[in-house]
Amino acid sequence: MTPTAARAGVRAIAFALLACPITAQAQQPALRTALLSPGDVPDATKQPRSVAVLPVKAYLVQPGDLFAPEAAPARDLAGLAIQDAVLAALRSATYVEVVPPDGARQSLMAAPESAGRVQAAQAAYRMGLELYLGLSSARAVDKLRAASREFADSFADVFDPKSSADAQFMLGVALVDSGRPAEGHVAIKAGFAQQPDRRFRRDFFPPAAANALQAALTDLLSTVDPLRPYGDNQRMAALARKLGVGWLVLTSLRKGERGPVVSIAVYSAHKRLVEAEAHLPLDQLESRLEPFLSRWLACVPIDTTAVAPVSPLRVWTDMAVSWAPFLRQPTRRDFQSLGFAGGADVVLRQNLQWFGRVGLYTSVPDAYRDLLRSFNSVRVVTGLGGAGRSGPLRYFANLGVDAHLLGSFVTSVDPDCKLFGTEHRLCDRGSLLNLESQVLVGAHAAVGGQLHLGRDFVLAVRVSLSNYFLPLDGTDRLNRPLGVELGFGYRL
Amino acid sequence: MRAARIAVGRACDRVAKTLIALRSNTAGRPACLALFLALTVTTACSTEADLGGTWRGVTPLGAAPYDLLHGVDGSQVALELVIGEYGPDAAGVLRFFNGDAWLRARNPDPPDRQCGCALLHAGKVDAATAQAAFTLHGCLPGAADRAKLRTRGALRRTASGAILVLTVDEPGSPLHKRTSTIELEQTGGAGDIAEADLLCPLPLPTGNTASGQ
Repeated sequence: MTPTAARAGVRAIAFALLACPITAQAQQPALRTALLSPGDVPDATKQPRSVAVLPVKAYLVQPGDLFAPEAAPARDLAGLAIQDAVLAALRSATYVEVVPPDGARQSLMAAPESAGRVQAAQAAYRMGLELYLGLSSARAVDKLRAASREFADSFADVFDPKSSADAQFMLGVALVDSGRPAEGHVAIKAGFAQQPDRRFRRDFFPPAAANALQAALTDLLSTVDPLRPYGDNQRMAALARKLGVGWLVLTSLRKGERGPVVSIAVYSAHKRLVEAEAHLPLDQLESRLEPFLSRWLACVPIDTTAVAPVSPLRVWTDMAVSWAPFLRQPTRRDFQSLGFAGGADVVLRQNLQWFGRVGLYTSVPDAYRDLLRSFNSVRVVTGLGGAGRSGPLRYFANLGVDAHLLGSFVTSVDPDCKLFGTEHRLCDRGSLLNLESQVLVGAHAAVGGQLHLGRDFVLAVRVSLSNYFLPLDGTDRLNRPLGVELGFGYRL
Repeated sequence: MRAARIAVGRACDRVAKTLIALRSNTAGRPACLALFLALTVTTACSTEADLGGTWRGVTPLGAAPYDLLHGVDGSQVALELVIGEYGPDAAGVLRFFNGDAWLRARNPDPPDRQCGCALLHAGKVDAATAQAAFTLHGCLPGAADRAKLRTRGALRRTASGAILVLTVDEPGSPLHKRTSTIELEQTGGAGDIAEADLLCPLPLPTGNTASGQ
């Protein structure tokens, strides 16, 4: 970092600390926007803040100029200049992902339900217009009101303000024509709110409607909130959600006592309110816009994708009842092994864990009593696994090594050995299989999950299978223990 | 008991059907249910004839002169069959006692020192009919020459106990085809068999043992 950049960074930090609200300072004490110089490498774990810049609304047309379409449309150039200045200021900041007005328009137009809504609105508008021209104003009102609603719901005032405003204007005119001037005034005012720089040809409307248009524009200019040119906080929240952004930059241009004034508001979808606002003279925009946006960005936290570990290691322990039948066994009928197993999963990295478990088992006699005595065994398994999370469920798949110490494991199919004992003269010694005190070693695989119950307690389920291959001559009769475990655990 | 077995078998069928039905919808079922159902099926669905245990003759044998079994001096003989049932296999021992005081206490003295007991061989169990068949190799109390006889035994469970049919299958012996049908009652279950119940020492050697002849 160059000395100049360092000084700029320190100055920006000091500025941010002075400017940020107390809460913002506490949450985000370090300034992030100005600390990176062109030579610095951005932190890949930090997620850029998505900001959409909506089209500038210009409240420059005065009621007296409403029916003078030949008047110079000064707002176009000024609006574009404001828009470019805002975009340039945001794009120069780090960790900011800017959605320009054109991008916002395209995104809204490409929304799944948008095309259908707009088509329905246009059809309703055409029918309303025909009804109005056919002197059926009362019936036209219903159609035009439906068209206005569909346009508003699809946020057509952002990507096609003329069509949206036309529906409102025609609705207002139809209402006035129907003898409902108050409602007409509201509708026309709403039309001007969507397209405040609209002008009309002279003598296009009958005198009553023309007067209503002028009155509505007068009313709008005197009451409009320039910081909310696209509606209230609730509508902005819906718009931000539809655009998939965290912030909306709302700009408007209106006449001031000393010249045009640019009003800028930054709406936060997270907080659901305008968290920064400024009213800047148009001629000072260049010098004051970037500090304003920098001050706002300094107070906005940056989300990171990296997991901030609470402790260096996260340990999931559990204790479970376990059922472990052998898929390969020397007895003619299956015998069961029941017991308890406990262990821990130690999260080494985000999706990588080490696991270790110990199980104590005892056997349940088989139907033919080929297993001469119940035998106890101890299993130790360990290895590595992958883990993931989905809501309250943590799931994993483990691979490792299984060491199984057998207790007294003696089987025979000779009934004399079973009744009289293996030392009896009738017992056929050749029928005996003695695996007493052998240690079987092999590969182990397990899948399972831990369902979060509350606080740090979990319900743990695990299914495992091992295949022993050591000792080389001792695994052909007793092998492949299947394990099913159900228990409770605790996250340390 | 047999009715209970049949009931258990039917219950097992139902459990098995339930398990099959659950297989298509196990996602939302608690794992413990599957575990207990599996354990129930695997541990409770064993089919046995329930012949294992200790059986004793209801009445002493040898009262009639033509009985197959009787004491050396014509006294009565009591009988005890200790049998272990292991699926399709069976093992056990048939022991004989003096029958005088049988109903009050087991007399430790066998009626015939050389024919006090016989081990069961090749015991097979048919759980469907609750029967067991086996072979005895040894002399029978009352036989004149103490010769080893091959005797076939058939044990069949009845509503009140069991019936043991012994048939001598030793061609050339005067006892060949002789049969004795003995009514038994169960005095101990399979888990009550003690080591002492299984004692059946080899017959004492005959002849001049000092000279080795």
